[in-house]
Amino acid sequence: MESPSNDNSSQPVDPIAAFRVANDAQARMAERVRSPWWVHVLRGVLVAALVYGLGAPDSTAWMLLGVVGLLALSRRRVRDVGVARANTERWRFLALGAPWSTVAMVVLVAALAFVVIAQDEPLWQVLVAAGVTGAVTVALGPLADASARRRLRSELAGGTSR
Amino acid sequence: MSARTPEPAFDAVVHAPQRLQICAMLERGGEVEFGVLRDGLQVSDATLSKHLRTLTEAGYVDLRRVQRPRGQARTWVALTPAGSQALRGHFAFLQSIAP
Repeated sequence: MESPSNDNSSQPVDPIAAFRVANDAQARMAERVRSPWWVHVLRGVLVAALVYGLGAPDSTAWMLLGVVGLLALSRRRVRDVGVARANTERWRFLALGAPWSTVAMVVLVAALAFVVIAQDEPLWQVLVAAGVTGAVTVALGPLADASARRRLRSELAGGTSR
Repeated sequence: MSARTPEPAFDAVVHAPQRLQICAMLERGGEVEFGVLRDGLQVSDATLSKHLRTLTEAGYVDLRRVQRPRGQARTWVALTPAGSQALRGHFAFLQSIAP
């Protein structure tokens, strides 16, 4: 049911009610920061493709697929969620999704460093690095989303306004 | 006065409950899509548009219209620095009078 248009600026000031109203609004918005399962799986596959493409010989196409796919997926998620700060804008998503988003990023960077440094290593090592990184990305995605929701809900009470 | 410790100041534009909710959502969410605000407030498009017009005229929000290749355009809303300052000042005012 639609709420009536409450445009009355001259009503009495009730700070408790005002903070409650603001917190409730932020909580409702935070609930939107939730991706369907296939987004997490696709992101994991694309991350694995990126790592494999960087480490395996003659696999530039895989790397391009990973980079372009991750960018496209990110834009799609911004559009679907409708809240820019919960996504890639200015890397805020890392802070919002911490610690899980940070762990996933560290694992990705470590895997990329490994495949670059160990270029002469057997292909199976690159495959393992790609697989582990993709699996970590899939597993931590929902946890990072949950952290972001928790932060978006709680920052008014615990952050700048109080 | 630094941005971390805003001057407490009652702001009549921000004080209206639904505009307070809009500003609070934008403060946390950054740029937020029109439909997210509408669903969050549980109001009609027209009601939200009216509030956004008031906030825009006060210089508190910016609207960015994105035309999609197919279908209708989507509007993204963000607080301006003036809007952010007004909201923080209003919250500081509320905090100062809270029991």
